[in-house]
Amino acid sequence: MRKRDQQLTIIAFLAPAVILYAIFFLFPMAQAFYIALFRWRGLSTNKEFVGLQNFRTLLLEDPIFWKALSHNLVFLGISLPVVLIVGLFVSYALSRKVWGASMYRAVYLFPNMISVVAVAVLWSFVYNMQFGLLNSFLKAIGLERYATGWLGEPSTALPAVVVVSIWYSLGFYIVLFLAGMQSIPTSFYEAAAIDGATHWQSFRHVTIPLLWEILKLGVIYLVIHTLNIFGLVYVITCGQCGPNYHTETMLTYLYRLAFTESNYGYATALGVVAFLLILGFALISLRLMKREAVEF
Amino acid sequence: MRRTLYILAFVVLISLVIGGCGKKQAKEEGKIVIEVASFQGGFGLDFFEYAAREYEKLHPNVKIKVWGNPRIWEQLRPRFVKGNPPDLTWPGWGMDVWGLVAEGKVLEMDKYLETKAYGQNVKWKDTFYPDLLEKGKYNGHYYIIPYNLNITGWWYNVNMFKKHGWTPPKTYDELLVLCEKIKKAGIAPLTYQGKYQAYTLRGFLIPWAISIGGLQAYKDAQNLKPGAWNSPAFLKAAEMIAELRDRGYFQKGAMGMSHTEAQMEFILGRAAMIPCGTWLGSEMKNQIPPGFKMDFINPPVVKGGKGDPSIVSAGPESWIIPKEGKHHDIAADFFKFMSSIDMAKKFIVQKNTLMSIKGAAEQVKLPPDLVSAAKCMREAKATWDMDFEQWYPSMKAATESAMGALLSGEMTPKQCVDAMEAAAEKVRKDKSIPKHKI
Repeated sequence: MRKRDQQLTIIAFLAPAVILYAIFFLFPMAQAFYIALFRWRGLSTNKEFVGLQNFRTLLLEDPIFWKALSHNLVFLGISLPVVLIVGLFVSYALSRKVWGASMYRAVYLFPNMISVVAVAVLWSFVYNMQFGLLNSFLKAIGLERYATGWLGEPSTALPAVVVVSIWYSLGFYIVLFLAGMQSIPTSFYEAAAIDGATHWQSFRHVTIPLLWEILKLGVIYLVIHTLNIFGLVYVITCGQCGPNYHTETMLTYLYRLAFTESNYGYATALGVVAFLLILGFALISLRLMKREAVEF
Repeated sequence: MRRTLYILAFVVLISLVIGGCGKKQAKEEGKIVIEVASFQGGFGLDFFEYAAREYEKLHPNVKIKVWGNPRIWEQLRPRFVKGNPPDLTWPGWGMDVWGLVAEGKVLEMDKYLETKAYGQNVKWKDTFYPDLLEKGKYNGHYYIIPYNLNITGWWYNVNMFKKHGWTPPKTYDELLVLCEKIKKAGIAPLTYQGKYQAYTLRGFLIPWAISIGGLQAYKDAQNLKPGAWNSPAFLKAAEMIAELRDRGYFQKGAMGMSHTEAQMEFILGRAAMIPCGTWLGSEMKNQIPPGFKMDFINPPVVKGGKGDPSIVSAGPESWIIPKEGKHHDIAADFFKFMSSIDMAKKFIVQKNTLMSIKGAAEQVKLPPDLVSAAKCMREAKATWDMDFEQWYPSMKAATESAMGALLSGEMTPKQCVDAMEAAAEKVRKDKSIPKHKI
């Protein structure tokens, strides 16, 4: 009797969250799968059922989609090693009680506290051809011949945005890793030190294994973040998303299809594909990082 | 004691707020409320507010509410889907207006256009430039009504030209000679709004294609005639752009500039010429330094081309009455009032632009930077607009992206026009997209 009461209480406490989750998340998601089967302008309630046509066109006949996806993968491919290497290095240094560590911690997190739009606007000033910080800097150190319109040149537009994306998100990963490192008992390091381990050895054999779960989380988060990137790209290289779609990503393309080209059904199909891709990539990275968790 | 005072103050505040609202409500009681939603661009909303107050004076039983913002189409879209749109709207450049027309969401205006105009003894229909009104037709009926008018061409820096003894180029050959001189003077001959390639399509490619192949070449392209977008006229126009690019006549870095950044380069005198519409002066009003003078020219033409040199690019900003709006007649009447000759004249003066209403520009003293543009419009044998971008939004991205790739040197002229033709082909093949003719 008491057990049943308890269960009822649990259900009663969980129900509101589950219902809200269903209404605001599961239902729209199911609806997206449904809308993706239609040709719909998104201007009235008229929809025409076209089956899997949208998916077929997207995957087989749409070079822009593949180009956009490849750009997302560039974001992922560059961010991943940078975040892992720089992020781990900096957070390790900060966890070792460097002078001014708490100040650095705040500084690294600063970009994260600014809204994406503000960051994007700031950086488009940095990259400005005429009065941008970057070109002025190059000029000041005598490398004026390398000054260029960073966001307009086909070869620099995408890397320029990738740099901003990393600058923006790195602080988050540093703080994430740092929190993980600080929860590792110092006695482990002391023991390693007594055994004569170097800094590198204790990092490699103590920090990394004990941080593994956090690293996994970081990687999954990075996968989601880079495949889902929108605001930053949209604001920095708005309009055409760079010359000849050079900074087009899946979601900027989705936005354009839905809201300026009135191709809602097709855009929704892209949304579904993006969702499945992100899910797939997340599962793959989980699989690759599978390792016996170390309890401590 | 203090607590009682606080409570008292609180109660007074609340009752003031509620009282205030109640009063407003009472004032509107028994009135017909018309909702007017407008894109808020360089011209703001104040003129529409002003027109609304004037109209209310004539019709005390009507209350007109004007609202708007720079991304208004995003708010209007769900309201159109739901069937709860405003009574009258200019939904801005981000709205797929022709999609709305095709979906039956826009009111047919024929019967209203036959009624008598405000302030003139003619039909409302006859107060517009006919070309511009005809543009809003679908299946033989009027749906989209033009309002203010943008003439697009090139602007040059008058004082800079005077100082160096340069004259504005009339032909492409003159342009090449002039650009060389400007470049030698250490100034960029031309800049452009690289982030939005609609400006370069309108300012370079299309006028030159028209100049070479005649207006028909562009009409064919707009009508999606097979092979029109990569016809010899378009290819030659693209080659001219590539020539300017290769000779270094475009400002370095323009590719990454937004419209305002490029326009800043122009008014700061770092570039001698820029393609832009008649909104330029109003858009840059707060940045233009004292003493700066600019003037308008039609893009230089190609000697021996089929196109008439007077042909000008004229695009109206247009309004619609949503079919599911509640007060069609009053909304139409208010718009008729707004587009009356008197209001049109006031709009020109206050907003420093031209109008789709005939005769308005001739009856007022134009701001100096509009005189030449108005003259071009008056003398034009024909006008053209980038209708295809509104008809087929997918072509907008495709043509603008190809244009960007041409200017950045990633595509050859041939690849550029072939990419545009491919985009046209895609629309042509898609039976679900309603086709338009001009």
